[in-house]
Amino acid sequence: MITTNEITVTNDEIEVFAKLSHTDVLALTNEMKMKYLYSLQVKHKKLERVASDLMELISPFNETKILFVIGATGVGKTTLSKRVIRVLVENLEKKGGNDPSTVPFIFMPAPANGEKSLSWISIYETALIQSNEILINKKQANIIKNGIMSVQPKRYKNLPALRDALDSMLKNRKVRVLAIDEAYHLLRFGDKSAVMDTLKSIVDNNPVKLILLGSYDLFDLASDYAQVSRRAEILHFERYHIEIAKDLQTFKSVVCKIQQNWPCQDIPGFDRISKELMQATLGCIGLLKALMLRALSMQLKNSGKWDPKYLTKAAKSLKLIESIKSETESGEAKVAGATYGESIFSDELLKRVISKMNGEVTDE
Amino acid sequence: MSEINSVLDVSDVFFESSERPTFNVSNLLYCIEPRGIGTGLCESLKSYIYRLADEHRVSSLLLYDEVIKEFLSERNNAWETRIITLSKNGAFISPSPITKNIVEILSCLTGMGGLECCTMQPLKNIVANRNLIYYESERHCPLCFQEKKEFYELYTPLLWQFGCISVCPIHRIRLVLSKCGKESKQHLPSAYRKIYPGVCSKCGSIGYRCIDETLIAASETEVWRSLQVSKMIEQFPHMHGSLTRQNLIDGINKLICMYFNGVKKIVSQRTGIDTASITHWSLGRNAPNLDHLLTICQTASVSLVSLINGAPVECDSPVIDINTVKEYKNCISCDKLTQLLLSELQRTTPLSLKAISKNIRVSQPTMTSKLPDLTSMIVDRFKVHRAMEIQLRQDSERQLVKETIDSLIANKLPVTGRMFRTITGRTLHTSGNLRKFFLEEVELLKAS
Repeated sequence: MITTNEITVTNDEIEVFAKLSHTDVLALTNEMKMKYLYSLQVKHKKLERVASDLMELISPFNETKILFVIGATGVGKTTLSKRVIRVLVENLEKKGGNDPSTVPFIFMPAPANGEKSLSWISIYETALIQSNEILINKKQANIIKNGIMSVQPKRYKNLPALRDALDSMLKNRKVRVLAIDEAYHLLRFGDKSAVMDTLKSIVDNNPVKLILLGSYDLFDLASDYAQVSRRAEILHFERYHIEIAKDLQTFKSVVCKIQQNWPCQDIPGFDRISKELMQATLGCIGLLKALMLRALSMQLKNSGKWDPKYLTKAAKSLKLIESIKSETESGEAKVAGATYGESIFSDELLKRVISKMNGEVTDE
Repeated sequence: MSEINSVLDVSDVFFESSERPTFNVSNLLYCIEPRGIGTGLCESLKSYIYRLADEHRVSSLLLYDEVIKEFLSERNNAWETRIITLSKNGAFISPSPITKNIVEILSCLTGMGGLECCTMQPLKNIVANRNLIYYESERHCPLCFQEKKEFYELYTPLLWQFGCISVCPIHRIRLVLSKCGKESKQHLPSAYRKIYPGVCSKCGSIGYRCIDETLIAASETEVWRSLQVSKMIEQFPHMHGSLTRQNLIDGINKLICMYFNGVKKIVSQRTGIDTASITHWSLGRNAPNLDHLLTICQTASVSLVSLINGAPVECDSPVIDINTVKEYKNCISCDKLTQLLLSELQRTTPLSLKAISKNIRVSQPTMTSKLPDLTSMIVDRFKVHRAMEIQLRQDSERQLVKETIDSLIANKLPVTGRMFRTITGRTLHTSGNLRKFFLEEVELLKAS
């Protein structure tokens, strides 16, 4: 059985997948069928809303410098940021503004190596690797004191040198967006204020916008630090809620679209059990994809014959899903009222403000 | 919704690879602009490399050895390429093929065009390479460096690298040798040293403030020559088509006709340049020296740029004195040199010609050619002094050995090298005179 961890889909492969008809897909090998479903994404309302907000905020005309994209595990944060960055890259290429010496967007994971002192070094190093930087292991920081210029003695790859090199790279490569995936790893670096001080100094010294992607843990980092709050925004990537009829309908349409593209002759009737699937995945599209991938893997192993029993193993265990649920619910409660768009001008007040601005109503 | 749809730019179902979106950077090095390009104080290529290395926060030696040299070897693996180091100034600014290769590689790696203007490449095959570059040491204008408020504003202009230039055209003072003015005790340990234009590589002083030298005002002629060369550098980015050998030949011929009645001998008389050399230049047999071109321009009151472009145009210039024509090169008159050498002859402890040359900053061949008798006297005097010095030292060493051995025998101690060292505190080195004398004495002792 092929597990999702083993799947890697290249850009060339997705170009091929995009051109395939359903009949062509059925003729693919089992491995390619898994890759096909793995790379298949469905555009849905919440993804579009967050993408639109994100694009708004990373526009050079917006003064927000640090963006937190917060959401439940498996809700699709990484897919969102990958897509947004790809769109930005394509737009830039279309406009012909693709200067070969610049790197306008960097998307990188926050490395976790378990050692506090080395964590920032790893972050800086990863960012430098992503920008194709030369001689990363031989960076030296300048020391200027009393009109004397010297360098750190040959202790290469130390923190000040890499930080200095990062600042220089961000400036020279004209980096507009630096997106850090799995940013909750930063929380393990130690003091939250120190982490935010470092992030703030990166954006203050350079014309770069920082996107931090992570679960609800990230909210503590964003909200506890007033200095950052002024130039930061929190984007909440919500899941679909079973108790909301509209959400249920949208979730069902996503299930239907995946079902329509199911890479087997024997298509399971997922659309009829969309409510149950929503329960099993907590309304997270990423978790739904994971469930379906596991189900497909089992179906392919059984020569393409579907058996509803596969759902038992494809879905997450009860205890695990309960734990994710409680963590998500407490996170949602935490971020309520603090995210982008939840301002004082909502519903009632907004209607009144509009009427006032149109001169229909006055204070008197 | 239509607005939101346009943001993601995909259909309802789309495909996403597991690869992270990356941006292909085709330029390995940062695209930084050379300072002062298109002005008379355009940055030199070597200074550009130093700044490029600093932007990457790596040592300039590493950047050259591990990045630029790799590409250079791929392009040209000749022995000249392999031995080039950053300390070889000529390889980075001269009109040589190696400089051309380095410029092309840097342009490719950084994506920055027009880097050839930071070198003397535009003068290739137009003027002679002899004395084109000032090789002795780096030079700078202390006032230019003092004007810069931040270290990153510092750079070394190409103008200061020309052999025929000795002054700063802006501050009208003589350039100063960029040699650390502090004692070696005050130098930074080598691991801490930073190579950056305008920063002393030994003590790290920003703007070479370690040099405490009296500023010398430049003469009108020196300033004029410096200005002419800076105007020529200013024109480098715009002179692609007009910078040809033929244009210069035409310019020289026109100049001779217009200002010297077409008689080369008059040029020779008024400039101090051989008639044969002028004939060779006017026929295109060989390229003229930039120094000589400046002399001709000054004599005829013609701008250097117009001469190189093939259409000499008049300009104001200080009156030239034939007696001082040849002195510009070394910036010292015959009388002064005689005076200096005579004072050297009166010195109690004579110095070598090399040491005198270093002290008075006049090359040994110049001294020998200008004042052969005086220089030979200095050499002979130093030879005698040196021979005497050696003899005296040997005698004292022999005496020391003899006395020590006598004292060892008197005290009934073994006559060994270790005992000798214990008593005198001096080691008998294998190839040293002390050991030779010691062994000789021991042999004599054994024989007796």
